Amino acid sequence: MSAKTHNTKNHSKKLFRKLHIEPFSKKSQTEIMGLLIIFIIISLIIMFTVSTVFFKKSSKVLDEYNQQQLSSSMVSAFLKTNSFCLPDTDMEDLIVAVAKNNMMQCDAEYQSSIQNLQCKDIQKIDEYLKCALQTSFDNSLGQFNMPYQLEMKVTSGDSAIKPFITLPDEADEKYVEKMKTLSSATSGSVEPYILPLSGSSMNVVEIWLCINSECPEI
Amino acid sequence: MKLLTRKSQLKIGETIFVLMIFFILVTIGAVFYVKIQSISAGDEQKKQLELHTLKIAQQVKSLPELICTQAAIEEFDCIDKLKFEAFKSRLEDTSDKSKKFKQYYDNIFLNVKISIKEVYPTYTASSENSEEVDTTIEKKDNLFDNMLKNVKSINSMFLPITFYDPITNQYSFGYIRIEVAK
Repeated sequence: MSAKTHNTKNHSKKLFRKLHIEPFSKKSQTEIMGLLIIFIIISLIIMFTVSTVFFKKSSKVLDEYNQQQLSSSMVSAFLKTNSFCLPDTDMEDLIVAVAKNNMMQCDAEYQSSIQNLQCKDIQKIDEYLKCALQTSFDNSLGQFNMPYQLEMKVTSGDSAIKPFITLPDEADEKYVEKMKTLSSATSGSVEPYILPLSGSSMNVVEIWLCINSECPEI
Repeated sequence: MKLLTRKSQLKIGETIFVLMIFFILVTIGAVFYVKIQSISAGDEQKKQLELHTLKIAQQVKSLPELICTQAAIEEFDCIDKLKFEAFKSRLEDTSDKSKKFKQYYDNIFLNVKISIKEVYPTYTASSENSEEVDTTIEKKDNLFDNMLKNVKSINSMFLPITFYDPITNQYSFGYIRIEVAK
């Protein structure tokens, strides 16, 4: 009886091995492979979704406006402003005079007639122009935490002469701080404002005002 | 018989496990989808607010009540000082006739605050410390305030302009600040 039972047990073990153990290990390997493929597919889908949704360049309407329109509006509004340095002149006349190396002096009597005029103690027009530009832009763009770089240079054909006005000024106490904010800001494309110089048809003044970005090296 | 029972139990267990994983994956997918949708909806809302701000800015810039004219020709980015003063005093007037006048602009500029500041040749800096805000300067600069309390988000932008004084025939430099809320 016991021998018969022993035989049955052996037989069942063999059957178990044949039926379950060996095919089961192969089946599990296949299932693991299947799971791996599913895992890879899901990972690829997640990576694609994350890259398209989270890292997509969001269109910022106001930022684009600030880059493209604001600089030209700022320059044109400034050029139209009266100089408050000499009677019947505007800022455009001052820029042209400085570009032509016309070293005039501001009219002190006229300046004193204007109440609360900023930069009134400066007589040299190039220094006065720089002060007026800095005061105007710092108190407008600066108030809205918009870092800027301004460069004015005379160009003749393709060649550019050294810029005659650059802001932020290296002599400024906050120059390093201002340049640091500029370099960390987003870069953008900007076009110069062209001011023709009367008398010389080839020469023009290029006014580069780069808001929220450093001006390109030209 | 026993073996078959165990095998079927294993099969049931496996099916339950597979179903559990399937439902977990479906739940994660649904959560992910909702999150993405909410982010895109927020982006779209922000974009719409920015477009609305630009629209208001263009409207303010071209208001005939403020814009400069030389021989009936409109000047771009220019505000007439005298027109500005007259418009501001009319808005601040509390008489019944002026209330209707203000209501008209309240409908056009809903949830909008407009302030105008001269920067050159004269500039009056407002205090950097928010606790010591000079109310006289703020009142002088404010043109229009129709901003409701408890707004979700505010978009602000500024437009550079020139102020024209017809009496002295002089142009000064300044800006319009527009705050739009939703």
